[in-house]
Amino acid sequence: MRRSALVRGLLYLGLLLLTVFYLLPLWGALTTSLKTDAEVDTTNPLSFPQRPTFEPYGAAFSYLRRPLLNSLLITLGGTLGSVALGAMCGYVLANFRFKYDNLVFLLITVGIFLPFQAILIPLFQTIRSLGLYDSVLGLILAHTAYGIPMCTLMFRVFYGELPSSLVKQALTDGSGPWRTYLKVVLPSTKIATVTVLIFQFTSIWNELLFGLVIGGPRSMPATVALNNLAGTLAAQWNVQMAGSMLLAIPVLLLYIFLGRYLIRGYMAGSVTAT
Amino acid sequence: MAEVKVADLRVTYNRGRTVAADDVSFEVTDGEFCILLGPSGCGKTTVLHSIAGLIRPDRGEVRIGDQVVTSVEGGVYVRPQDRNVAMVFQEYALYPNLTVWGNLAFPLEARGMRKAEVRKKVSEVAELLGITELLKRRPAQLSGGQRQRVALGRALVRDPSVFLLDEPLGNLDAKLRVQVRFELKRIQKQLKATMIYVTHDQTEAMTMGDRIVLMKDGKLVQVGPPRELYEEPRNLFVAGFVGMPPINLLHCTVVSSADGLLLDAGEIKLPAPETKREKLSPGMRLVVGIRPADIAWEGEGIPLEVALEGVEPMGDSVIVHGSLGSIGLTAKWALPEIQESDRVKFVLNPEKLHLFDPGSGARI
Repeated sequence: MRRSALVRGLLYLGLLLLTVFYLLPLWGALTTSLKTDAEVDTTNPLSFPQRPTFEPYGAAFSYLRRPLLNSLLITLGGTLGSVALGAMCGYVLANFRFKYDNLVFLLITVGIFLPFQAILIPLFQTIRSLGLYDSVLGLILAHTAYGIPMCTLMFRVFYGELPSSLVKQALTDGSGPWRTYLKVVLPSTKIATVTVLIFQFTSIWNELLFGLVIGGPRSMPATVALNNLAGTLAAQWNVQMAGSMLLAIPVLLLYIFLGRYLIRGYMAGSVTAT
Repeated sequence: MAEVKVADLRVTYNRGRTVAADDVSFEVTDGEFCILLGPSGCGKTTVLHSIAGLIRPDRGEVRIGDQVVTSVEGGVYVRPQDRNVAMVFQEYALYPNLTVWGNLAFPLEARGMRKAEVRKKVSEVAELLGITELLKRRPAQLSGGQRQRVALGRALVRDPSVFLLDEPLGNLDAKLRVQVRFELKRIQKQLKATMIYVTHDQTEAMTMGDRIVLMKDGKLVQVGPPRELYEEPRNLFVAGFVGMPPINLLHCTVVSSADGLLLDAGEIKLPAPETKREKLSPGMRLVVGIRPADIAWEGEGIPLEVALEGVEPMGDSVIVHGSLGSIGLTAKWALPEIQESDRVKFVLNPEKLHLFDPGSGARI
């Protein structure tokens, strides 16, 4: 008994140390973002700011204002687009049999394993010939398309957990596939939807490469702008860190308020069927 | 209500590799309670789903009333939502996000019925099934029996051409099952409803059905009223599947003796039934089936002294297991109990024997 308590204590100590180690960069970013230029040069990055100031935030925000707005539009558009389309694909593939249905599913989901880098050049050419280079709409389109495979897979799995008799029941009750989806499937799988929404929001918000390649000065998302900040304002660590914090806030808030859904969604039983 | 006609139905899965139903043809008349009976995997649910339109068959035709709803040859396929059939699944399939009221109203709203009309219909059905006080609850807050009622109510609330029920009592405990069985039959009679009911439980089939369609390995084996399946089973499978406890089967050879033809099963020799005599000849091998309820404890017939192996008291009746050498026999007697002893008398009536060909299993 005493021995197992000791093991447990050591285990917690180890975990605590690892957590501290893992959070150190975030701590460093936070303290640095609250220091003045002079203090950044003279103190240890992990030390607590002597006279905390929000000036770096002001500077970072004035630089990132437009890119943050771009990011928000791109992320909202891309998330809604990919989740809506992926959900419909997943619903159909989980509940209706048709010719070559498995092949269609395979072809859609193979997109998950496609690396970003492999499609950059054709993507750039497509977006440019559509006249959407350096536009928020172009980035929304790219993220929507790129998100569909993962969303389709996730929704197919979630909808597959619903008893198949539920959809069959609705059909024989005289409800067509659309009505069945909106009135029965969607309301019974709210956690699943929230899970995929958070997943897509986070991936698109944090994404850099598409923004770099098909975004431009007007449509640049905040990730790209932050990257540029590091290059243009040499050694202004406090402003860069303030920018990082600004970029991290939406995702952090999302996790704090909706994280429990995400965990429940990733585990089994995300579907509230009787 | 309407009649249902299934003709030459064939359904395959896995691109034709698994045949789930083949050569299935039967008719259900208007207002009839028809049972699709068979062991699991025999294709009965497949046939039911084909009638509902949830499965598109490879061949054949389904007709509901005077409308052809599926005809592979004629290129006709009416979608399930347009067929006006009401379905009840074993797992109830209640919409978890809706209240009982919402569940009952769902099929009416799906058909665009007016609000006032919906309210009237839902209250009527809730009244009929005694679930009025549950209308505001959600499925998760209901017991199994209550869920079952709601599922039934959702089917009854409409005016369907036909009710399709897929083992609706399968998830209920034994006591509730008997109660709902009776109630369902009563409602069916009252509404003069056409019902097609899938089950693997021969007791349900015998007690509820006007007619039984017995299936095995995707094919029809026998179609007829319950008594007919019990008294004149077409083959060994039907004889063994229908009736509880199961029929006794003895392997016999026909021999001739001074008293006429005898069925020789070794330790037991029985006179051949008069009605079957001209179909039998000495040397012929056959399987004799004896219903446990056809073995009496007294009266006229062939008395056999058998060793008592065990007794199962059922309250109002007893199931008696006896043996004669290597042959085991089971009898069912309408007695509350019997005197326990080593030996007991079984009385067989030769005219109640069922004879089957051992090769094909067909009735002789």
